[in-house]
Amino acid sequence: MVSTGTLEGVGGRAEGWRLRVDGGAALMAAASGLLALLVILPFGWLAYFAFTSPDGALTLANFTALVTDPSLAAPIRTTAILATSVALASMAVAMPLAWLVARTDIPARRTIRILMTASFVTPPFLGAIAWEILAAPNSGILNRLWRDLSGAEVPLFNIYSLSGLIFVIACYTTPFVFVLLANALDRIPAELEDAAGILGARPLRILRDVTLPLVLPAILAGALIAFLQAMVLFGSPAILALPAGFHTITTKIFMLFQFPPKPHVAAAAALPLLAVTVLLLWGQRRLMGRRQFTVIGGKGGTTRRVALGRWRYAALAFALGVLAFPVFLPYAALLKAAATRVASDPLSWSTLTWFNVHFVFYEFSQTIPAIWNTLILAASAATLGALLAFAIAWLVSRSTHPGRHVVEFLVTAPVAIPGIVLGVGLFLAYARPPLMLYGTLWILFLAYLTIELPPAFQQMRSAFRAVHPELEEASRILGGTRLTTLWRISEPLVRPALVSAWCFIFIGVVRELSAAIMLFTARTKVLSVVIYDLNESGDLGAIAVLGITMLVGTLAIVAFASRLAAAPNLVQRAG
Amino acid sequence: MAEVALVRLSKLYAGRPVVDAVDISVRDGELLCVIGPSGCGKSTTLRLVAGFITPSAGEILVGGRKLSWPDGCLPPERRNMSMIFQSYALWPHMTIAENVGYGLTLRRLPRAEIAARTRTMLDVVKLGSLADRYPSELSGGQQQRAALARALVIEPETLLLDEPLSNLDASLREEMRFELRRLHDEYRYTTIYVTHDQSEAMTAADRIVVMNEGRVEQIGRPQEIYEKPRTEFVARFFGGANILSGTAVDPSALSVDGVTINAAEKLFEAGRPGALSIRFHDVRVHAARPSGASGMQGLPMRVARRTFLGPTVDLALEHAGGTAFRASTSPDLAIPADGEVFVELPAEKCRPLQVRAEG
Repeated sequence: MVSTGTLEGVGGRAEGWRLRVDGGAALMAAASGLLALLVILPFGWLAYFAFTSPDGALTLANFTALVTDPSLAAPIRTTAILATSVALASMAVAMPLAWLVARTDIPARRTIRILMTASFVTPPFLGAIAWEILAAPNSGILNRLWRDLSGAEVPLFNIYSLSGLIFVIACYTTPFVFVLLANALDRIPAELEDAAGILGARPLRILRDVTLPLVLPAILAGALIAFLQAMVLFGSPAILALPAGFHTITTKIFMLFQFPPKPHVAAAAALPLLAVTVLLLWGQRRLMGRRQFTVIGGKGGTTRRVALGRWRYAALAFALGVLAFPVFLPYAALLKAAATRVASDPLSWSTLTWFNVHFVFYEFSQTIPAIWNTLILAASAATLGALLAFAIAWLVSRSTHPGRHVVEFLVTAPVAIPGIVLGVGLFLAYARPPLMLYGTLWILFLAYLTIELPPAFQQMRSAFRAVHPELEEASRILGGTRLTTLWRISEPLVRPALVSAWCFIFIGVVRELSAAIMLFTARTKVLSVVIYDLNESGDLGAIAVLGITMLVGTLAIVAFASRLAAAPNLVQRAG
Repeated sequence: MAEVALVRLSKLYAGRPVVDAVDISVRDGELLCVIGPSGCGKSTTLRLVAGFITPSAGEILVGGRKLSWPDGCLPPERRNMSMIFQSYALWPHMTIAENVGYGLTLRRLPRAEIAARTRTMLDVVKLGSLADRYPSELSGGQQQRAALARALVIEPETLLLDEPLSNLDASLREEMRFELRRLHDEYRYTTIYVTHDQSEAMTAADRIVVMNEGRVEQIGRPQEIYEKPRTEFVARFFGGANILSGTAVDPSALSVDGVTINAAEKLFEAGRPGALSIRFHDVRVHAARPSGASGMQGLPMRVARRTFLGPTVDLALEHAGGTAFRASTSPDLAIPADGEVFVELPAEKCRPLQVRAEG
């Protein structure tokens, strides 16, 4: 009875548990309350500070300062140029590469795809530091090589510049755009292109008239995402722009908290960032429709690949060249820096040393506490976050209570909060009584939980949507209570998503810098903050060791968690 | 086991009644089929009985005990019922034996007893050899039998079936229809069986409830429903039937275009509009009005289309009044060139219909 399913099913499905007796409403209220605390409290304070002067009077002066004070207006201009250039650059590279990988017979396309996806793992700040090692004007490996080879005095690249910053950020936004586009291209059934072919269109014409328009939403969405990431990033500009003597919004907000602190102006600078993010995400959602990463619904037919002929290896060279910037070169540089005293020294048996490793693990007093802090925070945020996402997703997808929309909104809202803005908000909210959390790990924990909850929730929600409600109802009618059913039926069925949500949060926490930089104190440093600090003192060898440790450790923990997840026979969900 | 009573049961969604003051009582050990088109409220009715939904009005009693009423609702797990779902809802992460034994595990029975009862039940549904398979490794029919075993093994008071055969192919569906009836005859649980397939209802049911637009149209034994439809909807839903409308001249006769047609029963109110139904194959078509048969009642009509179907011929007929009519006749019938025929309507085949009160 398919057609009644919509009416009777959706309305009726979960209503049995909406009951007064079971306190469905109470559950909703509890969930909304918890989420409101996470989201609304920091933003209430943020708004309050933005609209008041230090003596507490209501004012718009903080916003006027953004426009009139040149030291504030310039970073805004710089950020606009930066974000636009990054968006254009990553499009220019990601578009041809995505087409090559998804639509042609380029060699090793699986490997290219995996490597592009894997470059997500690199925290942007680590990538920026790796590029310092490669292209700092004097000591950069590439510049040194250039000077040695050409005899020139002038360096080839100067990474401490706006164009250097654009280049480095684009290296790490390109993979996002690439994956978005490659997935979109995958989903175009070959018949759509064949239909144009049978009518006499040539391949290039098909590309222009059929393929491109179909992936256009994905292209625009990708550009928006790249723009957004470039706009809210803190680590890379802090590492590359500050030595060059200019600011972006994020570094400026950070500086406003240094001595003498100006939290009111900082709050005012954070609000437009939030507003633009909300706007861009809204635009991205409109473009992509409700089903993200899809262009055309339904089953994609087989895609036909364009034969590149003698251009195959040229295409491969292009792909490898693209991969060199975010993956090969930076990791080679990090390994080199970790293994030698001076990163730019030529590599030979005599320059190889364990000095950096020894320094990081035996001499540098911050390493072990930072690793502990990071592990504790990542594991606890991942565990609580995944369970919370599980519970809220279950509540939202199985209930008909009107309150579920409020809960759904609150839990996804932090998607639109840039890390640095959240950092400011949390600082303003919790550096005062009654909840004096500043200086403890708790405030970092709250930050991570807030940032990571939305993607984890979205993952769990789609997992619950894929589980037919009748599977749960069958358990109820056979005598299982709601809790029994949740534990013995629902949880095993969504366990793969639960574990992957855990891993997602864990990785996210380890690589987070923007919020942590606002919230750490001497006793609560995490790895990302220690790496940032070490960069200020120029200790690249130690950074390389820490960075590699961090990546290897994260991958090991995630691999272990994924093995635990292996649940049997989830192939056919509805049975 | 117990009898199930639905008393003035209603369910509203967004102010619209999906189930509208339904009164049904299922006798102890009876297999009752609820049938109707998509959206008639039959599935909602079943979910109300299961306790997945709280009624907006009315109540549900099982064995005299009140289980559902608007202010409260015993949760599904405390109703001692079982249900078979349209999707079978077998848990993909458990083997067939684990699926079937689940309800017993929840009842905290000793391990040995669970194993024994599971095994017995699997043998009953002929799945004994597949106990350790996972649901995805079974065919549709086997999954359906596993779902049946899972529902029966807990020995429920009441068994609910929600379109259990709709996902099977035609031949398997027929086989399972008899299988369901066989198992019912063996265990005699009070059973409510929801379907939209009339042949399923006819073969399986002790009694049939026909629902339409949230209301009960008619309740009766399969043969009764077929032979004596009470409403136009029931007449049309079970096999083909012609409907004739007119004005009642007395409690058992209707005047249609000035011709009086007698019905098999008294149901009309003289002077009020009325309707009767007659099945396509109960209509007798004559090339001309037989002379001397003064007791014969009928109407002259014109053949609009003749469709040869092999054993029978389907005639589309038109009455002078514009009423479209259909008849199923023998291929031997010779139709005059002008298409004018006399359509005999035997009184004993003309079923008077209730005209449903508006509102």
